[in-house]
Amino acid sequence: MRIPTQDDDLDNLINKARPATSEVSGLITSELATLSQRARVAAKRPHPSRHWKRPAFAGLATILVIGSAAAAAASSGDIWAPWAQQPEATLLLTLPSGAECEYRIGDLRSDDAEVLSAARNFYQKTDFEGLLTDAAIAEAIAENERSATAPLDNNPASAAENDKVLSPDRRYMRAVQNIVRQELTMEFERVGITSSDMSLTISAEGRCPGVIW
Amino acid sequence: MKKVDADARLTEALSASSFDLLRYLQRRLEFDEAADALAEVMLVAWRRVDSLPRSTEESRMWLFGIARNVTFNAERSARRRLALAGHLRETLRAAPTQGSPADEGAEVRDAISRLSAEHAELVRLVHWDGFSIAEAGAVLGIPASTARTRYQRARTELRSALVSDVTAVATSTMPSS
Repeated sequence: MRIPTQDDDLDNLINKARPATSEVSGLITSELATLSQRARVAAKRPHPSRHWKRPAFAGLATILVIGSAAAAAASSGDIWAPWAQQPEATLLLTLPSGAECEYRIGDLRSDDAEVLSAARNFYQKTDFEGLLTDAAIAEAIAENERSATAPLDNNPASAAENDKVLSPDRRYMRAVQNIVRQELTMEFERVGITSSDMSLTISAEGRCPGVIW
Repeated sequence: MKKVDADARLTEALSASSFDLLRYLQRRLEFDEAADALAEVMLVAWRRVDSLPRSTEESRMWLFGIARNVTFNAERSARRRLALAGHLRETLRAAPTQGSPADEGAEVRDAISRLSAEHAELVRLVHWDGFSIAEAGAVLGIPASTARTRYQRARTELRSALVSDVTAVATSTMPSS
């Protein structure tokens, strides 16, 4: 490498150090357009605050308990519930405080075999690591903060809960919960399940040693 | 702003800038991570479409601002694979590349990375991504005048670092008498 004695020398050195990138091609251009449209569809998943107003999934939001209450209750015990010993899905999370959490989801129940099958398929097949990216969680937290003053479902209790100042760990968990709920809702929509009287219960249990919610 | 209008403008903005965004990410992350990072940029952009600036130029800066945040997050944690990016990831692996071989310019890249994060990014935006100094400032969220001052300071620091690197190499390879 030459010592840069003039501006031009320095410019050349910096310019030549530019890392290699993909060559422009019709195939990549087409892939980029497709990716943009797929991202558009994925990003337009109904927001949780809108879910609550939708009768089709009103029940769903109340039973998806990947939340802090379940974690707090479970973290004091050492034994997983019987269903949690063979869960449908396990989420491993690192909270903002640095605490490690393990969540197990399962014990799916529904009177409707189609609903049960779709939910089971969702939990078994979803790439939760890919779904719960830092960017997705940060965005969900920001979205929760933006809607923090709005009651979620016109229920005063929800509004009060929503207005509370949450710890970073709880905000993180709430974001995770929202993302998973949105994704499950979208999966139901994808397979055409729109019944307003759909019954589905899902259990979740977590271990987050050391967390003070 | 009407939603349809914003959607159409973001489609257009991404169409105009997605290849540049891809190259921006390829220059800053592991090559194989760029497709996933770009998918994240697009997801965030679509989720925030209501915040899309009106002008074409500001929209472009806004997208690069998102890309910068995504690379910042990527530095803190291993990038996760998104199913969304699967096709593009595979296409990029097989596609030809343009530019210097990986080992060429390694000392300069290393010297740039030793600058402060903001100085380093200013240099990269101007020299690698083709932004004017004012545009680079917009991506970084700083006024053009501040960007110009910091860019000149970054060049001075970089020149000193490179001179000192070359001198150190020359000294260490000098035959002893």
